[in-house]
Amino acid sequence: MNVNSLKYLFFEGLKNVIKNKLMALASIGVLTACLLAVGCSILVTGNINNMVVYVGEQSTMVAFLKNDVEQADVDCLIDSIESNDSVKDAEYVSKEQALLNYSKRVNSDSAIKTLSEENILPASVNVHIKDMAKVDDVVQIAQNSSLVEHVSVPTNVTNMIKELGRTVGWFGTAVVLALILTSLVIISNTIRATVFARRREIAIMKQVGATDNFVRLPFLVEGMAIGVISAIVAFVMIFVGYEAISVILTENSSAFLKSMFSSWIRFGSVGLLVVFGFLFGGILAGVAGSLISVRKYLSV
Amino acid sequence: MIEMKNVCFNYENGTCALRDIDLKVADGEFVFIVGQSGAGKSSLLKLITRENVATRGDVVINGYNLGKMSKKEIPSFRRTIGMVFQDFRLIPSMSVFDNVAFVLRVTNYSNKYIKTRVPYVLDLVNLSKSLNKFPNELSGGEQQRVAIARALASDPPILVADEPTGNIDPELSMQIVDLLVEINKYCGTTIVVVTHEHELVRSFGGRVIGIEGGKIAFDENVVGKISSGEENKKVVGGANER
Repeated sequence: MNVNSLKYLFFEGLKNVIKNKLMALASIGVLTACLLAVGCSILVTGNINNMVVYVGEQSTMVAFLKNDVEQADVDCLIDSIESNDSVKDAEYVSKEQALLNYSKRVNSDSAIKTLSEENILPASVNVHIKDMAKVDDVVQIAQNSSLVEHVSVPTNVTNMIKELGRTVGWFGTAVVLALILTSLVIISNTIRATVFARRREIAIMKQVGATDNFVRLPFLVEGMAIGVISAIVAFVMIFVGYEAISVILTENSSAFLKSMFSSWIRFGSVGLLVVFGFLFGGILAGVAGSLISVRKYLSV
Repeated sequence: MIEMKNVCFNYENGTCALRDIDLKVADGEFVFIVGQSGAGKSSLLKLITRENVATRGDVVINGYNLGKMSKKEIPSFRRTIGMVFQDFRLIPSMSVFDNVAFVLRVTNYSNKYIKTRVPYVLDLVNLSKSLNKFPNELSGGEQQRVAIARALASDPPILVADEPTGNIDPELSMQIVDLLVEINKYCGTTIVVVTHEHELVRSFGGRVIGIEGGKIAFDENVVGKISSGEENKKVVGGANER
């Protein structure tokens, strides 16, 4: 095949998108919807995962210390706790600081007065955990220390977050896979219908001596064009939709939700990934769908 | 040159469509193949265009042995044959020019050649004014003439027409066959016309091959526009060595 033919077939493929605009529109519509569904489910899963991690980060393990421990020993304990990868940071809270924190929280003069006379609140090391799934390792480090009297872990929250993280992970993956599978079936059927409508055309091409590649190339270009158009449309829609939802959620929600949404994925940080993902998915689906569908009618 | 030796063709379900076909069509001949529906005309034609492969025997056309030919050789073989169909088989989304040019593009001809060759062949079939029209804007006869122009575009040594007059009225049918006769006479193209219209065959005459029950029932010269009848001879159920 010479350059002239390649040029002709390339433009023929593009022209076919316009000539068969109804079928092309159907393919673009289906492909866009599929890309959107997959893209949205990935973003939603990612965001839920981020929120789970964020909530987990807010969980604090408290290691209550025995009385009269040396500051140098406490520093050693903090260093060993912070050396664990699951720990975000650890901070020492003295007996005085504990009393101050308590008084701020309860706001009861009589209780504060009683505690001021004899401060029974113990000093502690507050540990912020990055990954609640691995909190048991950190608890072990604290419990092994002779300085520690007792370790307090929000077990219910920990277990819930562990469970939620796992469920979101599995559910998200299952939904995305199911959507990809469904999309492939729908796309291949739509493109198959497009090619079926032009099976006579393919037969005529073959009868006048066209090679298989000569017949395939315009369909390949057409599939690619449909993929690119779908990817662009899906990207614009997901960008506009995501930004609009972000604005609504951050402007109209409570302080707690606002803090939760601080972990919300910023579209700018994943925009390029989404564009290339959509282009890759769109072109792959368009080209593969076209080529597989054409193959059936090439044996003339 | 079309040559068939001891050819049989069975369909996948075992039905025998053609039996013991021995046939030779020399370069530059004009041949009618006649027979009733189901006689095996279309099967014979599909062997010539390599849409079907003979179950037994040899089919040699333009130097290609179709039974031994690889899949890759099929396109180049088909470019040596011009095909005209009963239902025209024009690509509806292409203009008249593009329908004819398509055959040349398939064969990698340059744009410059295409721009001169297409108007020339369309002029041969009296359609030079319809270059930019689309098939649905033409009458049945005009569409068939476009199909003939397309078949002629790459100047093939053989032109095969499958019921070329099946979809057009009798007067136009005569014009279409007249055109094929002219092409045979002036371009030297071997022409094989498959038809069930006996009236047409009687009118034009020439070499007529009759197919019945999958076998050649007769192969004779009929007096008409094409033949004076001097060489008239009749061979029933066998080969005709000319």
